[in-house]
Amino acid sequence: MNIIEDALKRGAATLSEYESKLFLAGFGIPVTREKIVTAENDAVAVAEEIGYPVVLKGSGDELSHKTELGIIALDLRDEKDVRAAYAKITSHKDVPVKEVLVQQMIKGERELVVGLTRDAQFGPCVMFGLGGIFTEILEDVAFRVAPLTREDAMDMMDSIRGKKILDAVRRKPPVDREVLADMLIAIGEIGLTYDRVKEIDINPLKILDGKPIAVDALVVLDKG
Amino acid sequence: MKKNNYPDIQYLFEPRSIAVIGASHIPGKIGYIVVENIIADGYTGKVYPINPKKGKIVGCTVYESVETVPGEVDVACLVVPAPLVFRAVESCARKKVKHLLIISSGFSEIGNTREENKIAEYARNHGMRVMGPNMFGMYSRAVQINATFGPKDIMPGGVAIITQSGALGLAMIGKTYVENIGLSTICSVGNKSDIDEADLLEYLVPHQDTKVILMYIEGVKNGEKLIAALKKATQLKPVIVVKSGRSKRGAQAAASHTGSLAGADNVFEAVMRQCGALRAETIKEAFDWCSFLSNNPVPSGDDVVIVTNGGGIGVMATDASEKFGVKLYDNAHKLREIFSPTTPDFGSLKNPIDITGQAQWQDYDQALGAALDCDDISAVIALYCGTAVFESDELPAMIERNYEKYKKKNKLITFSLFGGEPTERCVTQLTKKRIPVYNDVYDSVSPLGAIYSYLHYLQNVTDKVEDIDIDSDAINAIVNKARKDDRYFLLTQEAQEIMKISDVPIPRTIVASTLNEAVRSAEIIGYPVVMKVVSKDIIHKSDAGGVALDLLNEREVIDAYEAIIRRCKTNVPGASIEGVEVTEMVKAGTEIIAGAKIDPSFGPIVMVGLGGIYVEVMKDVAFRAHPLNRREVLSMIKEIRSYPLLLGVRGEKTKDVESLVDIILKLGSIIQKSKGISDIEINPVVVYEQGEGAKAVDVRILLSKDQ
Repeated sequence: MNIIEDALKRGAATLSEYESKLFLAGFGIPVTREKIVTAENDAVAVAEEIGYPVVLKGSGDELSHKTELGIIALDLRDEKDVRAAYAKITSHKDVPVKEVLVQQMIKGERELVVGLTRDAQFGPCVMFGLGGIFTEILEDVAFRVAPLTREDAMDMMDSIRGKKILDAVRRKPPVDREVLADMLIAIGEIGLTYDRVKEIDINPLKILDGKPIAVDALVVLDKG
Repeated sequence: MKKNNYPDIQYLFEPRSIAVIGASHIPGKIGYIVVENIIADGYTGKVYPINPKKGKIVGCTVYESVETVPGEVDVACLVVPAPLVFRAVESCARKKVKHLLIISSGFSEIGNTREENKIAEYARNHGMRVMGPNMFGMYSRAVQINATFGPKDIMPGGVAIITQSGALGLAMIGKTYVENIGLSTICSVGNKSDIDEADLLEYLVPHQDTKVILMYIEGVKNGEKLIAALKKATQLKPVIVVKSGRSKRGAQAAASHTGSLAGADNVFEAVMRQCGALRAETIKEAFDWCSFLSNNPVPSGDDVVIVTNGGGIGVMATDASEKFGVKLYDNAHKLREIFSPTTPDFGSLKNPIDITGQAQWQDYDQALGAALDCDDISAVIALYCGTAVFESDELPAMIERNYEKYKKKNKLITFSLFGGEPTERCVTQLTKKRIPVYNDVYDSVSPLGAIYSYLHYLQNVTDKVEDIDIDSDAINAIVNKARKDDRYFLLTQEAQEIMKISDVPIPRTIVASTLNEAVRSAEIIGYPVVMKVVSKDIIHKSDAGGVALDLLNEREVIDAYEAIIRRCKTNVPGASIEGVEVTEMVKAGTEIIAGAKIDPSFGPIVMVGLGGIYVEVMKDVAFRAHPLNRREVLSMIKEIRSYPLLLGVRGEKTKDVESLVDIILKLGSIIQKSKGISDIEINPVVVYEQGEGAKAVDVRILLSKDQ
């Protein structure tokens, strides 16, 4: 796949968020609607095309801690918000930001994590669990060695302590487990097919009207 | 009748005379076995079998009725059928008997609660105390009495057992004999119509010969009394508890989260911990702990060393130590100094100390001796894997020798032996001598975990409880007003008023009954704002669509107002809607749930947990019984898995945990002092950075139905 080869050619250790999602979308994994822009007017045009509210994020290979750097602006509701955010992100005093990602804002309360790791003994393993900051704190995750059968994928969802989050909670519909299973199986397939993909981290995977959608994603490459 | 007029509980355990009402002439009948057991155990007091047929039973003169007995009767043991019990109790009252052991069954356990209450009340009014009904009797080493219909062989010793289950209790008598666990007493409390565990603790706590108390509990009737008795008991001796019913079926469909979460086993677990009682998971574990704690001293230090002749079992013991909270000594320099003379070069000088598969008994002697001489080390877990080089004949002597040495120096040592027949024989042989030897690694670590958990409790416990001044009159006025409306919950404004009275910080709120008022209120408070429906018919506001967050301007307030009214009318048809409350949009922080409730067993309890949507999902909550002190509240907060959120993650600063402690203490005081409230729940309490406090965003209060 070109995205991976291009990145390796330019010596990148990771795909950018935009590239990561583009890559994942190629395997049917639902991702946020988003576009890279390099001008303020384009940012507004894209925001209007996606529909408000939107998120703006500084984009680039080296920009991994976007929240800490302050190059992320959430919940922008109109043109004025977008213009102000664009100006702020592109004028960061320490990091030069040339590209900005304009992204659909997903307000799901539920945050999950899906990922791929490579175990020294068992090879590619798919990870599933609670996302956001809870990934680190509650460590409520399950692993399965790829390839995954549909039963494996379903069983994984039942293996976490917080599995109730997949049910109907607080007037929110239950999570579509079939779609989630497709995702988990696809991640396993990527691990088996692409040796140069070292890790994948989709966190958070949010839930919008019962459907999972990758809000942030990172593909880590094996530079060989 | 006042409690003061009751006979001393000592007469129950140390009766000078006992009557057996319903004694039988027919061997094999319960009424015969009880008399037989009393005589067989060598009881030195007077035994009076009661049976209208008179004559003799096991050599004792039989009396027609308890009233015709010549001397005083301290205890009457009743084995007559249920319908005859009350008349027997009446005649005991005339005889001025002190304690009744009602073995007979057929009462509340089969739904016959009225007869049971009648008996208990009658006995109370006549200055008698009742143990049972539906129990197997009791054994007391102090006067060598075995007034049970269980086995005759009971091993005397230092463990007192109180059990709620009859059949299990009887089996325990047999099992303790097999396991060589000596008893100071064993009794079943049966249906607990009068005497309960707390009453029995009154005798057992100061009782010299009782070193450890084991309680098997199924349900708790008077939890506040049990808490007080347990706290007193654990000051003097370890109390081990086994409770069945970890999974409570049919948990009450309580209206609040606090209710549904507390319904489970975790309140019991929390209360036991708070009282310093050690909760064992299985009876085997409980017996292991009893045996260990009754024969070994409580250590003074924390540091434990594992000595092993096999790497694998050493790693397993390390895992077990983490599981049971046993701290492994890891001063690398010291360990090298102590153990290098006794460990081959290819062994390991890191804890676990691996003296390798070549180790002979002399090597164990040396290594264990070196650990014994080091003041830093308070206990050793010695592991043995059956090997070809080690003559297992030498094993028992080596173990016994080292155990005695450790005991003399007030240090602890446990052994785990794993191997073939000679090894197993060694385990059996040494267990008979009450030496802590086990055939599984985890079993050898678990008793140490228990004793350390007890030590840590003793090191930290204080009697101090926080007394928070709460204006309970003002709170009661609000509660009474809701009662007059026939409501068992408070409206949001009422709940907020109680928070204000108690100085719990809440967001600024104005109630608006029209659209115009809502817009004006939002302007007064300042954007962004939150709007929530006000209706006594809608408890779950967000479920009804009655909540709108983060409204930035007038336009959004107008849209949200209309949407809320429309959705609530559709989702809860017929609900009377008083308007909306407009509240400041609370700035983001860590979302915690805090609550207090009246637990059906334990009275006022407080809880804390991870807030927001994750309450139901993760059930990451902790409980404590009220009253308590700041340190206990803090330890409760630290118990939740998401505690790191309060310490700050991803570069955030530490949160204002002290203000959360304040809020929890206040909730506890409110629930304790204002008797009409059954549940208070704040979800979320938003906790800010240190020095910036916390805010109770959503407060729900339920009232108790039984007043």
